[in-house]
Amino acid sequence: MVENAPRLNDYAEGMPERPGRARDPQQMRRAAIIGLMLLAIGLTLANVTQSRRWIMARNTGALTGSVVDEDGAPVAGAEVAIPGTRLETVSDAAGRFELTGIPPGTQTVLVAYHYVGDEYTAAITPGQRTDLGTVRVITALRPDGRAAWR
Amino acid sequence: MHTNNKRSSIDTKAAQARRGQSMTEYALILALILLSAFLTLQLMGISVADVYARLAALLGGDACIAYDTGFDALDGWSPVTDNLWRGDMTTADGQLTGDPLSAITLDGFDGEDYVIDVGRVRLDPVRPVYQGYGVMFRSNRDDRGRMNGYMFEIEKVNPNDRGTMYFSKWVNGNQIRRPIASRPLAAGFDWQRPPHLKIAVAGDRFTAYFDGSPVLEGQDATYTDGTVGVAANWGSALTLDSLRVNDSTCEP
Repeated sequence: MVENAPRLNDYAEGMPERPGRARDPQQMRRAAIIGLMLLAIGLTLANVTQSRRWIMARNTGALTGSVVDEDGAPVAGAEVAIPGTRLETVSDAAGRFELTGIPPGTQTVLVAYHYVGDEYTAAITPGQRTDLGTVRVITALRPDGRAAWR
Repeated sequence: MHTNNKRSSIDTKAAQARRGQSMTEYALILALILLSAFLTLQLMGISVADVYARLAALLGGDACIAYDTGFDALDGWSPVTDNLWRGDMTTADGQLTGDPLSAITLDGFDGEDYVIDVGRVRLDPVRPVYQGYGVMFRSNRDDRGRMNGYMFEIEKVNPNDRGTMYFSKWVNGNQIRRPIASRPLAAGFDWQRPPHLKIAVAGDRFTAYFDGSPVLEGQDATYTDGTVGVAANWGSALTLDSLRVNDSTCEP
């Protein structure tokens, strides 16, 4: 081990040149670009995680379910809403609906078709989907345009 | 002395000139105050006619009346214009006339507990089915014009139906299917000239009176305040001569 150690004579003409690569300007530019890109990505992520939408998405839940008629056939165009908020959607051709961005807790849900509806309650958990199940609406219409509730 | 007299004369003339100018300024200031008051009321959605009616009621010594109107004009009222309520309401000979499926609410009024005294109602049959009318209370429109509130309604589904009265809840312009309370109407109910209706709204309890007798009670705590309105069902044309809203503490 000691035999391999540098001797004083080795430094008689000054410090030997360190083995290493000379700095390539092209590589330095590349490193700078990559660094800036990483910084931009980091800042974007920080911005997104602080945004209202992100916070909402993390702190709210979703409600899913399906709407059927008296015979169990899917109903499109049924209104699903959380009363007192702007959270509203309509059921699709398969009768399915999904409502997102719902504040957590017990929520009243309105499911209506042609001006007549029912209210349900749903327990909304942050970051989770709550299934309201299958909801039945009246699709037979009165001549005044309302669902034939009586 | 002479100089003093001259100065006094000039001062008097200047004062007169100032007085004359002040009158114009006063008039302008008064006009500006009136204009700003009018614009403020408009911006707040308060009808000048409503304010006048309230002031008149107060000055007349009847502080119990929150709102009292005949129907010489529809000032302060606005039609409900969602897709369901598509008929027109107009006034003629001091009466409100409503086409089938018309509804109207009183703007600028927002009460919690009150008694609605519905004047004389006449229902003219337009169709043999779904006749009747309704009175809205604690009603509010959302930003899409849809009704949120309560309604007392009498309705006859067909000529063989004796008719039903009910309190219903409306959410986003939709009637909740299960009424808050309902009851069949008495045999021999006069559909053309229904009895004098009063609706008392206090806390979460509502009571309907026909000719002074309680006929239906309901309970719901969803809506705590709002305005009043009337609606005509699909089979009827409605005529109404007056509508008064009283402070509930003044009613027995």
